[in-house]
Amino acid sequence: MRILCLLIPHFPASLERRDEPGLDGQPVVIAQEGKVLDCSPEALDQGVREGMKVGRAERLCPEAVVRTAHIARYEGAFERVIEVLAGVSPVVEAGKWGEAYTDISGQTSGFDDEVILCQQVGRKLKQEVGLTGMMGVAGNKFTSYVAAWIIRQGRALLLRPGTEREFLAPLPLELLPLSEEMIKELRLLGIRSMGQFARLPAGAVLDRFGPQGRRIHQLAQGRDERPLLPYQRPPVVEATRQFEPPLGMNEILVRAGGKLAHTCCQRLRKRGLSCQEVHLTLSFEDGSSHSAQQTLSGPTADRLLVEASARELLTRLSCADRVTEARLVLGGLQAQEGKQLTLGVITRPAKVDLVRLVRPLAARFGADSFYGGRVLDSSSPLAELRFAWQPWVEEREKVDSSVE
Amino acid sequence: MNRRQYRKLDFVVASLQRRFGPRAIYRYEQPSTPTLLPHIPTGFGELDQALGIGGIPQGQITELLGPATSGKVTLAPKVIAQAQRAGHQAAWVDLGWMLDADYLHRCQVNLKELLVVRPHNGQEALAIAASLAAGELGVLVFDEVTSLKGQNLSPVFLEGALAQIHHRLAHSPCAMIFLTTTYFGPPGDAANYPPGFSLDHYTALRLALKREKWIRQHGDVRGYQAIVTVLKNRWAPPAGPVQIEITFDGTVRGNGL
Repeated sequence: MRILCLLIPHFPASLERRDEPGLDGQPVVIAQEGKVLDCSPEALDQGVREGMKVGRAERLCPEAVVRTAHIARYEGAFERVIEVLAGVSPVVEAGKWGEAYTDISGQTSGFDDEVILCQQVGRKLKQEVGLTGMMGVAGNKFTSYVAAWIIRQGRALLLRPGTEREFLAPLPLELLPLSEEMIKELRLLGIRSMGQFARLPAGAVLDRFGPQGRRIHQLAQGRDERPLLPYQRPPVVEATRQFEPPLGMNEILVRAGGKLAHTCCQRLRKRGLSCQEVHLTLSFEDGSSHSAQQTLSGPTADRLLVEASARELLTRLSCADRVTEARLVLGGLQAQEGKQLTLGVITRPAKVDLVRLVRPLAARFGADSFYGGRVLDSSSPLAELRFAWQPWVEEREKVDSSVE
Repeated sequence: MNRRQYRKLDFVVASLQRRFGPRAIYRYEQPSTPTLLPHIPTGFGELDQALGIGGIPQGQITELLGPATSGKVTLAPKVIAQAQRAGHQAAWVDLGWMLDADYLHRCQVNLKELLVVRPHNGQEALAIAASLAAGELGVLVFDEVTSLKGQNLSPVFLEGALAQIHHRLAHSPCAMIFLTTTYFGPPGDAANYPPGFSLDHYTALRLALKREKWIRQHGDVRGYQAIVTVLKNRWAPPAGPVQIEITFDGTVRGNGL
């Protein structure tokens, strides 16, 4: 089996840079609901991490350009990436955004052919998506991923069949999907590279780390039995209406939009689904077409909500041309879930101001009686290196001043 | 009784409950106060069920007794972790200066939201505990009662301190937990307490813990099984002993939590 892995690191940030070339070289942070969804390598160097609050990211990297996430745009672009790979081989597996695998065994007649194929994929990716990626070709998924991960952007690393174990041997343990605890434990045993880990007896690894550890041990040995899981396009519900003669932007078209929403919602209900995205495409008399989309605040199968969304999209697309066809697509489908009703409003307890509570006590009994704990290094055998106690009042004042 | 008579009885019960409250009348097989009492779950499902109200009562004193390594200092952080998840804050009075912050962290306690008090003596510890008991905290742990022995505290002071804590808790949402290591006698023996410290009188819930066996995996100790016996429960009928399982593999887990 020969697997090609395509990696486009920081996919959302790369897309923002593609659409706004002025952002090149600047740290970019993509925010969603107040948290960091993704960031560029420059922001990563400054300590910004995924899942961090945007305020904290801005404090860590004041020069970062913050952009709001456009999930539908990223998904659309990633689907185009999948299509590029699907042009090479029918079996394509999609990982997270910017990570995809395809099985190219049987598509090429030798190593040289694989090189040409990678060049073709790179060119097509640049033409159709406007991005460059990193590619790795190896005998299994994990090794191809590592090969793609260590190579420079826009390059491909191809391994000859049977060389997976030798290739992985000098690489650091951190590239394996090991937990932090396991890495610390292995470091304590003096194991730092995948080759050292691979040389351990299988039984000993199984005894110490269990079946999960054994699976990772096999990965380090260049063995990955996982098959590719073919990508399936997310299901959608759609309805189309053609207008003969073509219609101008008027009340009839708005009513037609409402009817399309009604039809789609009926189909949704029949399948027990709800939707979160509404796409509307209008085709015009001159052959051109325009589309717009809206993401709803939550999954719904409510006809009125979808109708209102369709109407808003129609007004967004309104122009002087006459419309020949309207197509409404509902995406982001998920199973309808019942909501547990409650008799009372669930309230969280009011936050106690511990500093205000402790200050008079500290004045009475001494500040050296009140502490806050902090974990330093969980794996250390010495208690004083594992955690530290910090005077509570001093620590809180430090936190308060940093917030200010 | 026929259906009509049942309906009539239901109507009478409903009107009585409306007039005198839901606790006035109830079916025999159902607990009288199912989940009406404010409580903090322990995180151990079977134990919560055995406690009748779903956890440790708030505004009351709970005592955890047992020998060393019986699960007291695991159960208490688990309660704190549950309280923190519900948005409460917690404090730990560490009289013995033996608390391990790393272990609390492994029990999923948010250390940033935990106040640790390391008093200089028992008198100070009880005075601070009494002040914190009125401070709207979710959980307050007093670790441990046995350390009060040998501090030459007068029985009158100890009795007064307990009464004060009990009174202050009655007006607060705080679940106070006293940890007692049974060095000097079996659970419930007065030898474990300093003279005058009548904790058994003020507690609403007393749980005795005892380690039953070690859990081993490939020769290494990976945890232990403990038996929790409810010695006193003011809110529910006595329940049989409950077995809890504590495993430590990076994080400390209780019964698959």
